Amino acid sequence: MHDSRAPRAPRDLCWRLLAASVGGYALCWMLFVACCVWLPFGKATVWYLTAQFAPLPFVGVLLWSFAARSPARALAVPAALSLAAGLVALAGGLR
Amino acid sequence: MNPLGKALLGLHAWGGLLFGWLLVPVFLAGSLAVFEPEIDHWLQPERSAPAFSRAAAVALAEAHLRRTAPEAAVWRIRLPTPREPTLGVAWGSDPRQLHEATLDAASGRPLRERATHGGHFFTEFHAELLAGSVGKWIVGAAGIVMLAALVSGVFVHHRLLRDFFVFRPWANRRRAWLDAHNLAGVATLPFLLMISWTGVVILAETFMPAATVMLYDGKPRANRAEVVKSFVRKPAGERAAMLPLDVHLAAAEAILGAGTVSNLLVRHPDDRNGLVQALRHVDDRLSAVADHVTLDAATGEIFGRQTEWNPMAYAYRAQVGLHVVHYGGPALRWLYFASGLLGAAMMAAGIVLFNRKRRQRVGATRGQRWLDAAGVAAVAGGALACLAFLYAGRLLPAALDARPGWALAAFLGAWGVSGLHALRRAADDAWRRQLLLAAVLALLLPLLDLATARQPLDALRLGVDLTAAALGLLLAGVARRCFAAGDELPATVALSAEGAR
Repeated sequence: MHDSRAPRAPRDLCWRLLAASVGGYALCWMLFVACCVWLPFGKATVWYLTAQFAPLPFVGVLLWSFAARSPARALAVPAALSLAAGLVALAGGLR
Repeated sequence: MNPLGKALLGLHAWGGLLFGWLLVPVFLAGSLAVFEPEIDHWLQPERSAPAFSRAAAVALAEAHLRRTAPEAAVWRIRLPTPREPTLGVAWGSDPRQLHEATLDAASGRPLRERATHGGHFFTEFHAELLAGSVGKWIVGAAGIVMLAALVSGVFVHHRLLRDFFVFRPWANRRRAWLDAHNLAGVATLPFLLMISWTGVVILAETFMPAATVMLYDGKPRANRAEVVKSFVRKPAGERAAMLPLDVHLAAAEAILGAGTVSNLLVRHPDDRNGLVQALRHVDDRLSAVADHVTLDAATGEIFGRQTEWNPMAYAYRAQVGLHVVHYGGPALRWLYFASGLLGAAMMAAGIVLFNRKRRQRVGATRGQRWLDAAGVAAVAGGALACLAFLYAGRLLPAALDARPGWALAAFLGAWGVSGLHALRRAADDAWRRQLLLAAVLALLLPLLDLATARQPLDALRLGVDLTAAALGLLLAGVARRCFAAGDELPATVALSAEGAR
């Protein structure tokens, strides 16, 4: 963990903000898509299920973006998770 | 502070400050929105509150609609309740765009109300900042930051449990603000987590349409259309007298429960294919889903009913119900109201704490003056803006053109003036003066009510008056106790006390 009392460079902060906003949005979008592709329930059931956990990826990625040791790690984790969720969704689409 | 707390301190402090400016007014408006019908009633002093019979009220509404709009394709009737003791009637061709009128629930006499956004103004500001979808995105983002600030707060203020039993109002100023921030935060933590989470869940429908795109080709509300059954049919073009609506009401309540129907929707009255839909209220269940039954208008036979729901939709609407607190009665409403205000106070204390710490470190720089002013405008300005809206609701002439627009201008204008005043004054001076002004305005609200009344005082208006007066006393106490002139401790003393922590 890095020491927040050390001033963060503005560029460092920008990367973390980008990770928190775009990373959180991308991860949530991809998780929803994967759920829509894979869950074996009716459309309405899937819609109302996904809507109920919408805050989770956003809050998780936001906290991670500022807890991560470096901006690179802050960005890499949501990017990797989004990619993984996207691939899972794609695999379901190709079934 | 533990390592995670250290890492998240910047997010907690700056995220809390910047979004706190928005979240304090959102929480204030949300707390007021809990009492939307009561505030609605207060803002329209033409509204009466007589003793009523629901069946008789429905008969009065039907008589009014038969006189006013006998040919309309759609009639809608809102039944009176103790919280909304008037009778609402509406008519037109499209159920979503109806002409509306309000009637006295005992006599059926039209109440010529002034035009106003009513109590719904606070709900709309709370949910979307009066800015539609853009506002929903912004409030949604603020809700996400709020959740992150709550979680990070547990790590930042890691001695929370010990601090919970410690309140040192006579200790040095900054420690007292820290205690207040922690105490209010811990006391309301479960409520704040629940209300922020469910708030974001509600708004996610707007800002996260991934499932709507995948499942319904991006058509909004298609999910709702799938789970809410619709029982409609085309008019036959053949006349058949409709059974009296109070007969339909009794039949519907035999299915939905006695005293539970809140609205009646009539399609094609006096047509052989006419239908009467009765919607159940949601006041006695956690999940905000309205069971409904549709009856043949002429024969009273059941045409369709929905009392069973998709379980996942029911669970989702339970989250909505948890947020909008239509369930649970007055005790829970007051609990939400107090918890919401306490949450706003926790954030306000955090804003004050942040600014005092920073001011001691960097001095009264230009940037710090802006931060101070924004804090005052968010908290005291938000309260002043809400009060200005209530005053405008009563003081603007009832027949004024574009009246709701003027009330909105009073709301925004008061906020702007608060910001300008805060920029021109030292921080504590601005806090004290603006909170005192808000206190005086709140304390005078009962007098304004009595002076501009059109109907005898009733329990609903009295409730608003007494609550405003109580909050006025509280604000006056905070202004005098917490921002008293000239007793700020020297910075060195406060800093050494902080070092001791």
